[in-house]
Amino acid sequence: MNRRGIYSFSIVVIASFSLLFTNAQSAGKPPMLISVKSPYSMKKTIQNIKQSLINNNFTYLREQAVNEGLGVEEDPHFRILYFCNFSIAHKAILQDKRIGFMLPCRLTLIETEGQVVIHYLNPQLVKQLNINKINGLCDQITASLKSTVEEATL
Amino acid sequence: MKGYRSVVLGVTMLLSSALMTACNLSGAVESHNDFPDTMMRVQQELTKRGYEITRIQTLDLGLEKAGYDINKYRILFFGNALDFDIIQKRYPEYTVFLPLSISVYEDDGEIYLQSMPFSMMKKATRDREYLAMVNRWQSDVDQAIHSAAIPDSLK
Repeated sequence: MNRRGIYSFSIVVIASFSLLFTNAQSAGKPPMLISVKSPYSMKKTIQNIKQSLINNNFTYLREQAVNEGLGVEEDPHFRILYFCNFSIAHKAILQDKRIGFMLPCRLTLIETEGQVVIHYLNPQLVKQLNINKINGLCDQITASLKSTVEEATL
Repeated sequence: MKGYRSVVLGVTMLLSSALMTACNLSGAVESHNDFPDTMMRVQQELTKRGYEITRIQTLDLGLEKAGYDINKYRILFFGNALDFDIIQKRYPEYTVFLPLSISVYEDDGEIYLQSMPFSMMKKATRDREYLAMVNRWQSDVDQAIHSAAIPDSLK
C-alpha cells in the first residue's frame, strides 16, 4: 500500500470509530419522550391519573389545555396535568436551582380519534444536562411517574 | 502534510460526533435588577417579541405552603398561539415541551434568569421547520433574558 492508500485507510478507520462512538452513545441513552396509550377516554384517564398521583406521593396542582392563555379557543384534545412531590422538588432546588424547567411535574394527554396517549419528558434526561447532584432524585421521580401512569392505564 | 490533514480531519470528526450527542443546560443569567423589576422586565421583553404570558407559577409560595422554605422562585410560562398550533398539528408529541418557560429565582442575594434547555428540544427531531421554530424561540428567550437582566443605566 502506498502512502496515499495508508492515509485514505486511516481516514476510513477514524470515520468508522467516530460513527461507532456516536452510535454507542445514542444506544445507551434513555428515550427523550415516554408515551403510554390509555384504554380509557380523556375524562376517565384524567380521573385515574388524579387518583394514582395520590398513591404515588404527588400533590395534584391543576389541569389545563396546552394552548390555555394564548387568546385562542382551548383545545380539549391536548391537556396538561401539573402535580408535584414537594419533598423531592425542594431537595432538587436546593441541589441545583437551574432545575426549574422540569417543575412542576407534568403529564401531557393527547386524544386523537378517540385514542388517548399520555406523554411525558423522561426525567432521566436531566442526567445528560450535567446536573449531577440530582441524579438520585431523577431516579425517584422516574419510578414514581412510571408507576402513576401504569396505575392510571391499567 | 497529507498525514497532518488526515489527523486534523479525524479529530474534527470525533469532536463533531461528540458534540452532536452533547446536551448541556446553560448557566443562569444574573440580573442586575431587583426581583420585581426582573420579573416585570422579562414579561415585557417576551410580550415585545410576540409571546403571551400564560401563567406565573409561584413555586416558592407553593413549597412554603407545603412546609418547605426556599428563596423567591417563580416560573413564567408563555407561548405563541400560532407556533403552538403548528406543534399540535404537525408534531403533537412535542407538545410535552409546551408551554415554554423561564425560571426567575433568588440565590444568595442575587437574582437569576434561567431558560429551558432548548438543546434538548432540538435533539427531538431533525425536521427543519421544527428546528427553525425552536431556534427562533431560543434566540427570542436569550434576548429577552439578557435584556431583562440589564439595568436601565446600561441600555
